[in-house]
Amino acid sequence: MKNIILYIFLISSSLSAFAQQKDMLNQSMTSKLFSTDSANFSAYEFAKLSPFYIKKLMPTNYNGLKIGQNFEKGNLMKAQDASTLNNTVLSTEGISQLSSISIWGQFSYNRIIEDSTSFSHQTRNNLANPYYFGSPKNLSYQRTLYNLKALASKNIIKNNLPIGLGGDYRIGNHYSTNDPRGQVNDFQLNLIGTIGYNITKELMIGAAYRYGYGLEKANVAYKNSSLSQGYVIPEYNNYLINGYREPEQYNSDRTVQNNQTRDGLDAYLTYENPILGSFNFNYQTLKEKQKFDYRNSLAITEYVNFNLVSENYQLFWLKKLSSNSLSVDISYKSNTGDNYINVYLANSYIFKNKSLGAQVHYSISKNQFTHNISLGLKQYEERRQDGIAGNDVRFNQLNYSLSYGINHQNNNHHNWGVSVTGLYNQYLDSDFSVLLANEGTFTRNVIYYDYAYNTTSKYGGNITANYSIPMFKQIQAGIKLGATYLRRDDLKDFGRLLTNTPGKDRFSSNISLNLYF
Amino acid sequence: MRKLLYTLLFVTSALTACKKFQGDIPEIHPVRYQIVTSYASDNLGKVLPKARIEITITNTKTNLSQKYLTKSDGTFSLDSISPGVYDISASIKISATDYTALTGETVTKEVVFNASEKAKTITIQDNQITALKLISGTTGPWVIKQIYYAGSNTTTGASFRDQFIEIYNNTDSVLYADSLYIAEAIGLQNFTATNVYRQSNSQYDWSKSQGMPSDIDANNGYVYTRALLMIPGTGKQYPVKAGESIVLAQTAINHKSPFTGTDGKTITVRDPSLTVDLSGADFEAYYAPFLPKPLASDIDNPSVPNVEVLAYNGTDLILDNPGRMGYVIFKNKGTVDVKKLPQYAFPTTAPPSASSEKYYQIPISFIIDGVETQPNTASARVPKKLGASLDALYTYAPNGAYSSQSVIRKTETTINGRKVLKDTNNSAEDFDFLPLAIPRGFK
Repeated sequence: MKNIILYIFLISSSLSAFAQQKDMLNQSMTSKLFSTDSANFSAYEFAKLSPFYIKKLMPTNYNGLKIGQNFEKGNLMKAQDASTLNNTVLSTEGISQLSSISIWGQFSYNRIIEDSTSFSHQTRNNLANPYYFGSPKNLSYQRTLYNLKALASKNIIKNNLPIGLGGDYRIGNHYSTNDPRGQVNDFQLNLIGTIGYNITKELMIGAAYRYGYGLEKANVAYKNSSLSQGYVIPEYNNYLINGYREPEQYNSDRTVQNNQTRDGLDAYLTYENPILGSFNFNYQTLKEKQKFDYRNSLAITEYVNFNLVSENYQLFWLKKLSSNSLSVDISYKSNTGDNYINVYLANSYIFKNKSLGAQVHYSISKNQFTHNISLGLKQYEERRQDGIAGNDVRFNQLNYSLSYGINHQNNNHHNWGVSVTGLYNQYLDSDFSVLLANEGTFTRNVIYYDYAYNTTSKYGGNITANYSIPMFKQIQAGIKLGATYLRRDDLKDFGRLLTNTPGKDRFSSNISLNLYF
Repeated sequence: MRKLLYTLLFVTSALTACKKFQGDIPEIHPVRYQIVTSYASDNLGKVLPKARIEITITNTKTNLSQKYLTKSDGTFSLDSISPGVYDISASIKISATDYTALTGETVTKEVVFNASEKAKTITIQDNQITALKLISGTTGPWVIKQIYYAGSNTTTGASFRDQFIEIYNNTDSVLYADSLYIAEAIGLQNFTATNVYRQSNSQYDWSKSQGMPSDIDANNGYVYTRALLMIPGTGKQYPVKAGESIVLAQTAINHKSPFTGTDGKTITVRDPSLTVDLSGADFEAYYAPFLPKPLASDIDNPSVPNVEVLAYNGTDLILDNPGRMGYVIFKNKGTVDVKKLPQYAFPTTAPPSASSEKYYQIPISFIIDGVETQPNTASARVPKKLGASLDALYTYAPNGAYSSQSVIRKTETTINGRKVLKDTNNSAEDFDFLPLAIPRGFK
């Protein structure tokens, strides 16, 4: 495993190193300024979706490295989240040109300490997952995640046929440091191949095929045998959560393997015109199959299957003016998951979420100042139905964000910036149907709690500040600080007795050292 | 090139069009379900009430329990119950006055009728019906009051050594424990074995045991015992006052304190608070005299009389600590010599060998009280051993094996300082648990 990680890091570093061949102070400044231009930077972020876009929407050269620490604390959180979270991040990314090939790469390392979570022995990247272990006991979880992404694009046949390849590899290790000892190992590998065609100088179409494989292996054990032996403290019991209903105690065969395969197609359409700017339409559909089973030396016992279909429609418009730029990102995303229980030979659980969002960035560059004005609006709806229990819970929210940032760079290339953002999460409507006869610990602690959390409005703000200076003539080095505070309104009374309620607020902060080169 | 593009567009459309099941509601939903109760005896069914029979439905996986009352025709309908596995019981208490008036049969105590179905699977189909036949059982003078089968922690407690059974005089007068039999009721401990004959409830079909007479109801008229012990005595040697009990210990010592085993080694518990003091037990099971290799911890307390062992299992009175056992107490009837009761081997599909273990067949009519225990988790439970006339359902220590917990009969009422324990022949209703077993304790 260590070799793989080393290999990943070397590849990533080498990708970044391509850009350093011509490194000069100008390049580092260009990279830094690029990162402060929210409209253009959002184009860069959009382009990470597929190799199809990297030649169009990414700069020729951009390299960055970040070492940071995020800290979150507060009980205004979902039932299965952590009340305190520490995340150490190392991430490096960059785009460079290798002959006629554009290559973008990113490596990230995350070390996360969660203190504490309950009812959640699972990775945090498969939240529609209907089949996992959980314990009522509050657990301290540690997670180590490595992620390597790479995209490459080349134009062939007189620049009329862009082709691209991409890969996304992630490995993770998640484990609790106290009993019951949940341990989850996961890895994901996703690949993409794209092809496009320039119909005219302004109009290009394209398509892609995606394929991915993933694996999650979970087991729950006890270091202190007296806890596993007698369940003297019922909180230490292990439960199997299967759907969105009361789980069952599950104190034997506490392992489960989830094999995942996914594939899908993308369709692209771009139109670029000096007057109208760059329009980029992206459609993506992905079908994922997850198979949960128990394996021992004798046999493989299949438990449930889970199908997840995701769709993403996105329109990104970038308009560059003389010294200003405007980006508009409109997207509609949906995920629909349904299980298949082998015991009943039928489906019992449906997960659905969808979001419709718009994000507008307007950047004005004037007299060594860059002003960024951003507006975000996103409607998010989620519904979980469990047919066995007859539970049907839905909520609908509207998220607003409005921010203003200013950045200044002087003649000595010293750069400073601040930004403030207002956040408002507005509860719109919901449905709640849970049979009282099925009310137990999980229903009260997770289903009721989450419903209370999701049906209250929240408001808050974020403030960031950064300062950077040139170093070693090739690097722009800076420090960035950020703080976010979120507070909720009163909880909605939905006629059920809550044994635990979401906290009033949550605070998060981050500090990072950022290098641009 | 254009062909290629059209092909790509076609494939894209095709793949996005052919979705799988994406209904708006799950295929499975809570179902309509009906319970129909009736009396096993047709004659009694004509005169006894069918209204307000208490139905208890417990989901075995979540342990969530609901109680309902039947309508006048003995039925109860649920519009929505989650598919799953349930323990279902029905119970009605009829006062002695009412019973006598309705049936013409004179009784002095209230009569309890029970019926049950253990591990009933409610499928995903609507309109399922379960029929329950109510029968009355014996509520005898003696009751099994407490069973400490779980034992205590193997590392810090006394493991299985501190197990005991407590039997209580539930009457208002002195009873004599002499010649009272205490037995473990044996049965099939899994749902999977294919080399045995089974009844519809997955329990052994004892009627197929080798040598079983064909003119008896081998499954419903008898229980089959593993350990079979008898309180010694001359007939009036061991009086037990009303509201008092006798404790039968596996080993009658103070398990909280270090003691020396028969091998000369000191046995110590690390956490005495997890175990119990059984030095004041009334009787103990001492197997060493007839075992070639006795258990070192099975020491004889000379001040505590030993029970007579008619049949045994293992190296001591080691109760099944997950709880997969039935317990019965009985006295012989008339001049029947219990030692001469017939014994049968398990009803295996292949004929048993000459050395196969055989088990005493005890008539239900002998039995004064019976209690069935089961593991605390649904997945570990086993086929039921005792019929509804002895114990409609079962009880269990919630935290399972080695938890220091005991199951204990609830106190129903107190009359002039004497506690009367609940006895409706349904341990799911009659029993609770103690977080730490207490010999002679009450709940």
